[in-house]
Amino acid sequence: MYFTCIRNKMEQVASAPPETGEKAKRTVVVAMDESKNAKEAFIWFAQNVYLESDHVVLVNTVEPYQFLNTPVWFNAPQQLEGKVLEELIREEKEKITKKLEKFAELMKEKKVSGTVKSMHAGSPGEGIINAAKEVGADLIVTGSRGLGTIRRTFMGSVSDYIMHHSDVPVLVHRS
Amino acid sequence: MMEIMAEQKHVTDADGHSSEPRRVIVISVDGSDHADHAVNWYLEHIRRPNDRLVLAHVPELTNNSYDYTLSSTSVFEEMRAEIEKSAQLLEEKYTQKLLDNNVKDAEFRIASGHVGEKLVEIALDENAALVLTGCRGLGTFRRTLLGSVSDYILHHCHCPVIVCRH
Repeated sequence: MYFTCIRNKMEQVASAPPETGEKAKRTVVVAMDESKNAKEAFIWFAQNVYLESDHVVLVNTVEPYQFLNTPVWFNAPQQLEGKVLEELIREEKEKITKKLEKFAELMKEKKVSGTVKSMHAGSPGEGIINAAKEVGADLIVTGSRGLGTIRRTFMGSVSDYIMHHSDVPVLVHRS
Repeated sequence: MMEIMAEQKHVTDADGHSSEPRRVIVISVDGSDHADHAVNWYLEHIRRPNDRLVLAHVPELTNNSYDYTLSSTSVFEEMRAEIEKSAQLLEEKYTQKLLDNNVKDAEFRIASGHVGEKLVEIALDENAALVLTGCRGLGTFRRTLLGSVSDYILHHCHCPVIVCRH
């Protein structure tokens, strides 16, 4: 039994888009996860670079099948596969929705207009780059380190990936 | 020569309105198009009226394959003079560009030594709010996606860094 991989893109409008009929002049992708680092990067961007004419997209990458790494799935007897899977998918969707809502709140709080986007990709960096290409980003904003628990390197793997694969300027926020 | 670090302070403009605190922005330049692009990008996207701009230039001996141990001092002197001259031309070029763009507060700083280290030092010294750099410089080998200097700055700078890829 195999499942098709669906690119999950849930977009929520975080706050009202610019009222004028003008097109947003710049599109900015902000790499977002639930780390303090990402939040600080976004806030720094909002205070130092953001212009009201910007269209900002907060992008969170979800690695597909991560939600299967639970004992529930591994212990499911053969005939109950379907139901267990459905439940896991439902829970995962809920988690993601809550996450995105939090990000949307953050945007509203900092008075940044734009959207929140969830991407499926093999790695967080890939997700951000794909999103940037999709929306035609003019700038990518990322923290230097996210949720990764191993602090062997000076800079996280995601910001490193983005740095090496972006076609547009990248702002790396170091705290 | 080290300047006394100016504290970030609120600035009042001609109308007497207090505006945002002054930010110090450091942009690393080396004469390459990439550095040019970084400066242009700053002027177009980041620039704010109270910014103090520091263009940091750390020249490096381009001819790394030359063995100086057997050469006379005059060869060394020549190289040094060449570097000084190109640094001067660079300063003139950017001074003109900044004047053309109405930049009121800017400085050209030169240092010598390990390029990445010195740039990070300058940023720290100036208490920079932001460092901008091109993605690559004058390096002749384009093996990497990201130049060694930008890479170094990214990994060691204390403040946010914008790498101007294009």
